[in-house]
Amino acid sequence: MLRQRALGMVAGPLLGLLCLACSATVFVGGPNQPCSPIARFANRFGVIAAQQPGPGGAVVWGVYPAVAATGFSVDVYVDGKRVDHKDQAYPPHGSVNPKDLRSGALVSIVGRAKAPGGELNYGLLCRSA
Amino acid sequence: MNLPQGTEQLVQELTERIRLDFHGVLPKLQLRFIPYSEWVADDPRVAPAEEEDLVCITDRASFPIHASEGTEISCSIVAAQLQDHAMDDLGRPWPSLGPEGHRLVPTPGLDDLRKACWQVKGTFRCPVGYLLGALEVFGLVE
Repeated sequence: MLRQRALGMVAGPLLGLLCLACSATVFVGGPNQPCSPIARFANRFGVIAAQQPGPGGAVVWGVYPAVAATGFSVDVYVDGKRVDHKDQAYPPHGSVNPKDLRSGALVSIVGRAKAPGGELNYGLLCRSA
Repeated sequence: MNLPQGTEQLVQELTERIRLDFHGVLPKLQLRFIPYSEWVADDPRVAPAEEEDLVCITDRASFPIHASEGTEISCSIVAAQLQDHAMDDLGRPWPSLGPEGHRLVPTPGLDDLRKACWQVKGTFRCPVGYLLGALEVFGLVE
């Protein structure tokens, strides 16, 4: 909750970038998108964001849907290694342990949720400091 | 449970220390452990692993615990994840120590001796597995 609030304070004023009823996950960011100090994207469906204080720090991430959604599933990868998986009823957030990171690692956060009208898909790529 | 050889003792100690600290806030907590290779077997996004690890599975999350590096790092990783679970369920920081207006919220990590501890830098340190036992005595933890 603390971590979520800390991220929400930064990302909160934004809108969000998620995709409703997409046939495939839409990724925002990319290999050239730094995680540090923050990578955040928004559209009318919500916000997805990650932030890292700097080299050696954890990558803290969160998904903040602007539509009613439940049944969240998310996977987090670092350089193709899965480091976290969540299945939960509420919007997911978490942090990538610095032990799983190296400078320049590609962090991928990808997931989906059930929303009125279809499935909410979200994905974020960024490179750690 | 088919765990990599030599990890049974780690799992046993980790499970007990975690239970002691979290039983009050996550009373239904049950931890399971499986090999990393089994966890990612059906995931096409995952590259072949260079070395095996253990994955801790809770009611809502699963994550590798760096078991090859020993019980202390594994304890700190699991405690950090479960602290998030507890705070999500409670809707407030946990554990929360001290008087109103001067609350401390320790987080799990390795201390200078590489022991898994609840810590507030420069202020508070308590080994994972001893938090409630130590603080209940003084009425310092909710």
